[in-house]
Amino acid sequence: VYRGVGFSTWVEVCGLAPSRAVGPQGVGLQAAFWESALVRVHISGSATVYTGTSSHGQGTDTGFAQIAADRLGIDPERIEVIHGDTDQGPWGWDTYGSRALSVGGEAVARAAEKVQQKAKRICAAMLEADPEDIELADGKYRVRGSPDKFKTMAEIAAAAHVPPQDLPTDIGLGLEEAAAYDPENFVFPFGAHACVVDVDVETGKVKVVRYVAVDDCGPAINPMLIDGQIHGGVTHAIGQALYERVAYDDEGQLLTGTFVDYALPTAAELPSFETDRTETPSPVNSLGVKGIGEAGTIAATPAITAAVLDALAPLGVKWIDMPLTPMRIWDAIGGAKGGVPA
Amino acid sequence: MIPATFDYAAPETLDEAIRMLADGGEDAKPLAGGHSLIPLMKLRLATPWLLVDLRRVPGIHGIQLENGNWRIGAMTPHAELERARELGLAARAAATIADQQVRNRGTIGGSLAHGDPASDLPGVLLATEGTVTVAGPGGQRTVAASELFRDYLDTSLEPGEVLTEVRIPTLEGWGFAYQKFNRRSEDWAMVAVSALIKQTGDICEDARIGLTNMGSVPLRAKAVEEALRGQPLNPETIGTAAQQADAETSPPADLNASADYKRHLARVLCRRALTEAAGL
Repeated sequence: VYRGVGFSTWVEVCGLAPSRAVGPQGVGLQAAFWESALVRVHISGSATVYTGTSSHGQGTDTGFAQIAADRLGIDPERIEVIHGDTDQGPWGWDTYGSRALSVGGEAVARAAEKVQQKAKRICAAMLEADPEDIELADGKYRVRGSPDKFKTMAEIAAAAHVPPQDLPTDIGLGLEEAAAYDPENFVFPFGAHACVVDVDVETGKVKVVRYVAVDDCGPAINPMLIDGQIHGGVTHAIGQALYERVAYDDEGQLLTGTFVDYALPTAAELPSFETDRTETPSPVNSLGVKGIGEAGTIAATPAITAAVLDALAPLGVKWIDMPLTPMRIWDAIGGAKGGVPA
Repeated sequence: MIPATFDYAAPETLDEAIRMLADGGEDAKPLAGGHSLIPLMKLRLATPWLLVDLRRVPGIHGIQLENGNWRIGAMTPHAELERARELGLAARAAATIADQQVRNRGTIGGSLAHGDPASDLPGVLLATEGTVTVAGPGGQRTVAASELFRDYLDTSLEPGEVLTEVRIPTLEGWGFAYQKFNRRSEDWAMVAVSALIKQTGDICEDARIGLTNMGSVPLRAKAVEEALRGQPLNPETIGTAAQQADAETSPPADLNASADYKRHLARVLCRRALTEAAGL
């Protein structure tokens, strides 16, 4: 058994995209790349957030609820996030390229900020204070310097929908705001991954012994969701490096049409990943966030491949096409000068 | 992924099951854990008209010791074999089958009757020189492991017959090992080797080696067994003998392994299994 160590560092162009850079006036794509959100606070004080992005398992709706909750001053459990429904939500450009949080999340933050400003004006009128003096703290809209004078979002939402006689009419009824956000620039998440592998040079089998990922996607909205994205990404990158392959026979018949033949790694093939973060805010958006959806798949494929080649370096192996299946590794060892005899 | 239409019955007695299967002929299949037959039906590689589920048939489940033999009911799931460590080789091999969910459902009888040379238990039955008890319209008969596997997915069971029990000699005092190679733990064996060694001091009195997925049926590595009999067991003798592990085999190439690679794996796994079985 030969042991190898592999590293990779990565930087990704994320936050797709500034429309003027990528659209018709930029590189020429006939599309725009901004994102939209609508935040509606109901008479009960609960809220619905509509986003043009689409959560398909990343937990984006959890993160978006947190972003809106912080800005509205309500519990995230009182927020429903609606996505993926063009019949209900505002126009959007969907989820890809690790953009949902840094573009779609920023739109949610901006719409929720606008709702907060309106809520402060309503609150100020209710408390006979200056809107400038209303602060949102501990889930309460309170008069700065007089913490016992406050209203909750539930009270403010009720007033927005059933206005008191003296509520200034220029505030407007209801409590909902939309925002569209077209980023000024891309964001650039980055990270460094390292791993240790053991290669059984008699059989060609690779065991990933240790995997460490340190990534920087800006301030963490939800650390558990970030870990989830890294775990899933690294898993599938290990799949690309060691297991997954689409194969056809000479007649063009697909040979890997089921998950029996198209080999995805399972928990039994993987070590417990070790993850950590640095948090360098992006100056591009108010959240400072940069995207994490693709980090694992970018970083782990070269790290694993480099580790296997490091292990086999003493045998003279310099190159193996992915996926590094046992037979390919065995072939490479046999073909390399100084390879171990069968 | 949707099977062709079929009828289903779950008889309460063995006689009733046999009658249903005999009446159905080639179009009726017994159903045990369903982890081989059902996938074949979903791929429409098998299209039985009638499934006769054996789950309600009494007396064909469980493990007993009798006169130097383990008597294992055909409906005993792999998970129970895995937990019965006293079974030795069979328990060791059963623990490597697919994943826990499959081991909870799949049965020893189903696996043997299916006759897949890539499955783990056929090679174990062959190496241990076990037998199976088969019940049919004409009564009961015993089939030796060496007579059971005829070809790929083909056994000497006749239509209307039900495999009811597996007998495996206890082989007390024998060393054993099961070496299985696959890409992922849930995969079928690319190659696997069952090894049994009886030794006095360091002299090999007898050796039995089963090969999984090295041909259209499970095989014995006779050349290796003969090379070791009467010889001292050490890394050199084992290493030399194991070089013949692929003799008289014709492993089918597949997506992830050429025939040459499988032959190489058989030699490596045979050496490792013998080394472990000999306690070296």
